[in-house]
Amino acid sequence: MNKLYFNGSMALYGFLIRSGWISYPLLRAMANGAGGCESNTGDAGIFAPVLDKLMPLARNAWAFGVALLIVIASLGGLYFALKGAAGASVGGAGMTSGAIIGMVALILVVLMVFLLLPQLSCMLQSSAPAAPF
Amino acid sequence: MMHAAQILLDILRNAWMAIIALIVVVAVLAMLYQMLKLSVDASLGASMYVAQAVGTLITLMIVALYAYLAIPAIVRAATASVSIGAGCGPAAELGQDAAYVIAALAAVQMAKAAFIALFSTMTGAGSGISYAITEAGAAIFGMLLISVAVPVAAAFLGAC
Repeated sequence: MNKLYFNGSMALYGFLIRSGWISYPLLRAMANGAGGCESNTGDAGIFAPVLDKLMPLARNAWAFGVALLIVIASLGGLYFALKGAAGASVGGAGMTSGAIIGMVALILVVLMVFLLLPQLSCMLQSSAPAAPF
Repeated sequence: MMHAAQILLDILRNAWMAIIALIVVVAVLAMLYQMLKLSVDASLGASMYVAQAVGTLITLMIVALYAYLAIPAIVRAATASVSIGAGCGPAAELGQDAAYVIAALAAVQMAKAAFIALFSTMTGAGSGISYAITEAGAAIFGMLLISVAVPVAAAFLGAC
């Protein structure tokens, strides 16, 4: 399963970078977005090997999800651009304004993923409670 | 007996740490999944699904905060309020150790229930949240039963 996620992530990385949509440093910064904060989770002791196996898998899943979001957002943005252009050319003001609002909403969603989710993750990691017993 | 209880408590403490670390991972990945869903629905103009995804995002945050803030508070309150020092002699010591281990088990069980609740929330099944709340109630009820059972057992065995 780990290999499957890894291969999927690598294929998406390759596609995005070859097509010139994003650069390596940007993708690296986004993929590592959740990993750069202080963690308050203590030592898992005998369960540490399990966590060591699961964490790279989760990291790959995160990178895969972020890469997929870029593709979805790009396609959604292209669709809205087409819709807006079509609306503008035939004089459909409602269609054009709907496309602009949709594009702004998409940008907001992407910004939330890139900025809000890593911050939320950091907040959760830093406020992890110690064992209450 | 104290040594055995200490080993058990150490194992349960490690399990607690592992579950808490996994809760962060699952919560963040579930939020990313909901964001993906939200962006697709926003692109297609499906406003109802967008609202559903936003609701699920908020629920995920609430369940994670419940696991982080409410569960330790519930366990501390239950441990402090339930009288575990009742009885006398070896029965009292045994009861105290058992109560500590049961409190640790209850904490781990509640954390596990919150972990399952996160998965249920991600998939849109609300039953996991009610399961998590029921687990918390069952754990407190179990500790209350122990606080009653230890003195009764001690009296029955003639320890006091």
